[in-house]
Amino acid sequence: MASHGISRTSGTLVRSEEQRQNELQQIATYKDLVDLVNTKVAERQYTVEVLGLVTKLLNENPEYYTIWNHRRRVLIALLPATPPDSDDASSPERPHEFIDGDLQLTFALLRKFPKCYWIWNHRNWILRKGESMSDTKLASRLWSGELQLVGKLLHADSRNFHAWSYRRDVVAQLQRLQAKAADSAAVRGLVESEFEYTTKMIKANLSNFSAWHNRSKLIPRLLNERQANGTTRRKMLEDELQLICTAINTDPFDQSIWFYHQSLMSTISSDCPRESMIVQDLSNGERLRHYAREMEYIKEILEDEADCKWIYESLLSTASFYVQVEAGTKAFTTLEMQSWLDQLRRLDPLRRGRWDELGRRLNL
Amino acid sequence: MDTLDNSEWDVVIVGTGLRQSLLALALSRSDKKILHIDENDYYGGAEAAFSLQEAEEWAKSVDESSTAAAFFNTSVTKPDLSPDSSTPQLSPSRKYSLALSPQLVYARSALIQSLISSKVYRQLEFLAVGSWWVYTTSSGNQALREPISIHQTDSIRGSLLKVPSGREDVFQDQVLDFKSKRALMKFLRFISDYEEQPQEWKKYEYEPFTTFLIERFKVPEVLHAPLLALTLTSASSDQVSTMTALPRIARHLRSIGVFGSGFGSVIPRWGGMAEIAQVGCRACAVGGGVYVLGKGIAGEGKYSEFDGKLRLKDGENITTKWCVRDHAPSGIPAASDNRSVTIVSSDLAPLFPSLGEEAPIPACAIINFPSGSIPVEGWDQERAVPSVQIAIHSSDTGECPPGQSILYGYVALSGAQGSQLLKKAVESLLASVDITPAPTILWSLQYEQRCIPVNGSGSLHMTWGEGMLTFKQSQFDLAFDDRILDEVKEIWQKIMGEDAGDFLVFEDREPDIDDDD
Repeated sequence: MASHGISRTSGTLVRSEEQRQNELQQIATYKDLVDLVNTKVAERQYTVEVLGLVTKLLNENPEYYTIWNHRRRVLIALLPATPPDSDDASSPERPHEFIDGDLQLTFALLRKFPKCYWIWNHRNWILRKGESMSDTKLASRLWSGELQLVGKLLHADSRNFHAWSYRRDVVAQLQRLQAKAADSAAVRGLVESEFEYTTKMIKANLSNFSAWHNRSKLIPRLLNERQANGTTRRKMLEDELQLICTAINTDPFDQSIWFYHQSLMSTISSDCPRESMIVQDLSNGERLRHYAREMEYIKEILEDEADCKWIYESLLSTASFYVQVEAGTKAFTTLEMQSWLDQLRRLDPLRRGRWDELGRRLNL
Repeated sequence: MDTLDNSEWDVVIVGTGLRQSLLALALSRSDKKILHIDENDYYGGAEAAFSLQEAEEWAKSVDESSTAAAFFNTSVTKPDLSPDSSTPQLSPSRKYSLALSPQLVYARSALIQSLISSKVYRQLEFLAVGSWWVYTTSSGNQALREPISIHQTDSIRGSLLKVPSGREDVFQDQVLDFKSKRALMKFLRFISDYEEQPQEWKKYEYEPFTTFLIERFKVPEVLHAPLLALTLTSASSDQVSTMTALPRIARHLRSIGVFGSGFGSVIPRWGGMAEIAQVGCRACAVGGGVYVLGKGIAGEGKYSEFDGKLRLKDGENITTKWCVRDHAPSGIPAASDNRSVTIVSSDLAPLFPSLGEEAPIPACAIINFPSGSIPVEGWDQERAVPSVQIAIHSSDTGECPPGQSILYGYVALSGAQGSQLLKKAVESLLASVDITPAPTILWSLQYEQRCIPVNGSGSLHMTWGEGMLTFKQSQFDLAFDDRILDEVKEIWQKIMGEDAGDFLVFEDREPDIDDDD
């Protein structure tokens, strides 16, 4: 099965009898371990020995999320209860050894299972626990280290949305610490560099849903940090539209690019919530101009790629935005819209029901 | 052993060029008694690498009288370098390892796979081939895109434009208009599986590739030169057929990203294919093969029935079941290519932009000079000039000291016109790189290489009598041609017979055996 253009390989299915017996043995051993851990936890034996058993089990099967819960119970019991004072002169240089140990464990597991929710989750929990036991300086170091780590993981697989989502959280934590230290320059610097990071990732690979998504989340924040006025905001919108149009022109068959285009179009609409807006005071006239220009631009691509369904979908979507602002427009006709819908039916017959519903919604 | 006279062998391999050395590698685990000789006193044959002094000696030793020798018309030029400390100077001879065969190997090449499966890859280091460039003059084309420099030197005014090798390159290009970008992208999408769409190109098979681009994809002329550059042939633009171009461009584009993002081919370190030849011979020696340099076969090799007896130039008589050697020329006058090796006093850094974060540093850049970009005196304007290819190797290859680089030039044009064209191409290239201090030529070697035609039969090698097998030669190609491996395999299969096993698939030897790490 291909997902977003990347095909997945299937494992080997043929096993010899010997391999099958080995597997049965492994399954029995695993089940015994599960029973042992569950029993100990039920008996509330929150000891280092049980921690070791839990580690062994998680190395076998990190997807068993209940065991991660058990681990956290054991750790809470084993870690010192009272956090040190933030300004304690004897504050540790390194996090507690259990924190360190779990950071290493989750790191090793992430390299093998970079898309397992529970490992990311636990690592996040560990860091927050670690922060609560450290002074601000160590906490900053912990979270900065995380930023580097997630950077490396994204370098290995730039489309891992777990890593992107984790990155956003890490950045938020760093900004919280920077705000606590009243370091607004650092906060702004971080937003700028994160924005640059999405630019870099997109240049390396246009087809990156997460990078585009992150970019869309960062832009309103960036404009706030820059204390941008109306002119600056309009420039940003223009630049982003120019960027995405260049991308569409380069590869109109890539879905992630159209998603970002759609998100930019939605920031122009009057329905857009204020915190997601790029330009906060668009007039209807400006809106119509944007929509018209986009439609003209996209139609030009049809000259060379008449069989690209995203183009027709986008035309219809922009047309419906347009019509929300000015119902009786002469910019395009109902006949044109009908023809685009027909093209969609031709190019993607499996989604007939969807196109019919779209037609009803647009009164075609 | 004291003398080879009256010795008996299973296989005698003549010459330690790349083909023979790969065969030696393939035979290194067999129980055949192998004698591997080379009449030169160095390894590598036509793929050897030389220090500066060795190159100069080689240039003198070439046999100008023979019309059959592979190399001829050699000359070494050493510009007068004033000895004051500000002028860049040539370094000592041993700091250089100049390659006669500076080929690149595409990532998906069977050679890489074979080097891995035969376990000799550990003795080799490979470096990334980075950007590809096209030289243009503003008289030829309009300014295409942001050039890295426009440098005026007397009448030469040229610039180097980077060849886009994929979607992200096209995206970032600043000067191509949108319609041209669409056309190029449409072609790039097509080439990714062109074999599945024969209806699109079959009727253009023998037509010039440029015709196909215009008629089928409306690719504007501005993009023809970059796309032709990716074919890495020296043929002139109207000589490259669609059938030739498509597989070569597909090979290029499909290789990008295989070993890491941003590049699709590699070069061996330390002197081109010579390293691979050395590794092959070393493996065979470890397996018991006997190596003798400075030994050749007597007689010019007109082959008739081979009776298992060979006479060596020093008079020894040996017998062998199999003899493998290069094919001797058939007496038909051969066309020739012009080649050059130029040592330059600069690292030409602008031509080696980074391939991306944490990507390997490129050690090779390819420059293409399309037909017409360099004027040739006395050229018949009706015919298109062959294009010139220059491969620049940085000092990371170990072929020259840091701060210098080697320019390997190649053009499929013989005689004085060819060597003049190469010289002019090198000069134009150096004039168009924006770097201070301006690069100067420290030393250069020009030579011609014959492409010896062999009557084509279906097989890749020729068999004479019961035991004489000869390698067909082929025209120089800047990219390693996998058919060479096929050729070696055919010969290996003949020699090994039934119990051959897998070609170039070995287990690691016992740990006490030498394994360079």
